[in-house]
Amino acid sequence: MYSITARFNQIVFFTSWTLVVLSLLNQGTAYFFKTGKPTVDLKILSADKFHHYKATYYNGGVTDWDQVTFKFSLEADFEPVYNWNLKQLFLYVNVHHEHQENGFQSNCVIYDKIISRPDDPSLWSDSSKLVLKNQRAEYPLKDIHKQLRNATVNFEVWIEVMPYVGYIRREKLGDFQYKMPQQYN
Amino acid sequence: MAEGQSDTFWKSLYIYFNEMDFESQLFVKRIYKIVILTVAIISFIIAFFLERFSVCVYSTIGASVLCILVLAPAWPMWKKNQPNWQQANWQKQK
Repeated sequence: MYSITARFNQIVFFTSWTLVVLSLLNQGTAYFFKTGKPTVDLKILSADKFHHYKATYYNGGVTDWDQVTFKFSLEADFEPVYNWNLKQLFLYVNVHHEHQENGFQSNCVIYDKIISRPDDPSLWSDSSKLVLKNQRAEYPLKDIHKQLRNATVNFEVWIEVMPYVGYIRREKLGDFQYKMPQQYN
Repeated sequence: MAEGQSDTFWKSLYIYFNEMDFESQLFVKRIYKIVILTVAIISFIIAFFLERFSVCVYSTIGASVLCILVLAPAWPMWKKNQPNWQQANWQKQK
């Protein structure tokens, strides 16, 4: 306390320590708020461009695969997960299918979206409802073993919860089955 | 500082804001902790019921900035209890 830099230093670092303790309390008390399970409903509208694709490498090799682009509609309500410790939610739609012949399992993410939480609690009920109508998937589903015809694929809706202070966790919100067409269209 | 030298304006300004009484140094040392902790606890409770953590963080940082502006430089209010210095004796002892 004998010089101006000593006083400035003590005040600044004492403030930093209190902010660290307050952030830990923030994370700890977030469990007292409601942390329920959000509701989600996914409908697959169509499976477009379901073809057998072929490509040639520059060195002459040839590869071929099945590819399909989905269109879906999704309705979700994330109000049960919102608390003051939440920074954003990362929503992604995962397609899981088991091959008929070999028993291979494959996962492919076809759509993702970032949902930020606004700071003002009166805006939470507006920003927590997500309605997607006739949404085209961002990434196509590809299968190099060409087993997609007549297969039963499983659409999973996942959410990754990212807080301000604390661990990041993933939750599966729902499973929706879908039967692929018999032939290429 | 050797005799015969004088300070520039900025150095003497720095020395003015640097030197503080011992009594007020004790006072400053006690009061900044009390002020920042009180503001932090009260604003945390208010922010808990409003569910906005930004209220707590901004008010704590604002209280610390206020403390820095008032308590860190040696304003005239912190120079009231000067100790009794002896007279300077520039002549060398023989």
